[in-house]
Amino acid sequence: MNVIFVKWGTKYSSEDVNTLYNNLKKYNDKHTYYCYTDNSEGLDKHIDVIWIPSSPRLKKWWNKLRMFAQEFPIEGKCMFFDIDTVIKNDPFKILDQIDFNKLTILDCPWKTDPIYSRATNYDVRIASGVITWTAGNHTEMWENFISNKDYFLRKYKGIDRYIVHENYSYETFPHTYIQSYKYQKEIDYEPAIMTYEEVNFESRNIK
Amino acid sequence: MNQEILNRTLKLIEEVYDESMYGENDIYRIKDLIHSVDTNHWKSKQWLVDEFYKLYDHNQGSFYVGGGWYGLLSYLIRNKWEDESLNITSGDIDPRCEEFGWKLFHNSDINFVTEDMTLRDLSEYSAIISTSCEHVEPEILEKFIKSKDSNAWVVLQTNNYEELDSHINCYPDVMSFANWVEPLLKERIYFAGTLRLGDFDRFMVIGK
Repeated sequence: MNVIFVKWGTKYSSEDVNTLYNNLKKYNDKHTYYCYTDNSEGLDKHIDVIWIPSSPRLKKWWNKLRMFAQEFPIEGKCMFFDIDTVIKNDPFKILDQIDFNKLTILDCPWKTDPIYSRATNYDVRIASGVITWTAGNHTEMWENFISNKDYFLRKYKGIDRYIVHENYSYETFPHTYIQSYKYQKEIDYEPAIMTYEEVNFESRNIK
Repeated sequence: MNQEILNRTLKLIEEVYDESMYGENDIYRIKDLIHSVDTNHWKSKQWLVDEFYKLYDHNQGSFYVGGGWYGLLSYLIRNKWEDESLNITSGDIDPRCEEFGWKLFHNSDINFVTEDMTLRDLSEYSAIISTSCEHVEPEILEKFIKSKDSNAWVVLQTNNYEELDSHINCYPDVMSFANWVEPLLKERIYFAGTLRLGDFDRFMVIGK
């Protein structure tokens, strides 16, 4: 399986990627690890680099959407992790429950405020901090985006909102897979990962 | 803002809202429409029209507006060049721009089209214009400029407002922008200026 990280700009460093890689490798060193990035300096030599192309220019998390482009140079099963994901238990144990023909994404059950349902804010109750899929599937997400890129960049604050409000189908990981750092201080299960939900790219919540 | 355009914009906003109830749900268009005719856009585009009018110096020809959005710039061009022998085409890759452009500015003799601005044959135009260079990748903008007739004018605006995700081609000041444009021109830059708009600056370069 391909495990993919996306590092664009300077918010996260190669050291951050290496930390995540080492934390994941403890559980499975047979997977092939990739970093899709505009700067590979300092990355662990066991992480394969996929270069972010100069065109189309995308900022921040929008680069994640490119993983669904037909030309993205990966084949087979894929699992993506945001760089600020904290690994608490084996995150791969769940994979035998996953249908890789479908897009699977994190659910955020802590988002209970009715504001998330308002049509005007396009907010959502999912998060793209971890995603599983099979390369070559869901290419329509990228193709639709690129056909009217500028409008989507204005309309949505990130790819989570794009995925939901452009009506792409998805499954979600079980609630017990994830713990929210901000909103779930106490839980009665052992999650595989802890995640941060941030809309402000300038903030840095890692570690 | 012109009262008639304000009324048409409000009517269109109502249509978008109604459509969101029974058809395509895209109420962000309401905000986008409002932005497209806000004071900053109006000022920036009027500035372009006023400065370019002095340089163009005749009332015939054809202008191509690339990334023309809902058509405000084309409307202001038409107001300045009222003679219908000047043809105005406004192209945008977003199909709703063509639809809304006709609805907002239907009596301004503007040809709204849905297209990638780099795929059009620009050799027939006496001026090519884009006020949305901050949204356009340098490679595409370069192709746009190089596609014009060598004697045609090029009028470009960008800004230094980096914060938006859609702003992928900003410049820190007008000289940086002019220095990027100039090598692509046959003649030279005739105008380079800055319009201060509060939180950010808009830069304009006019050349041949």
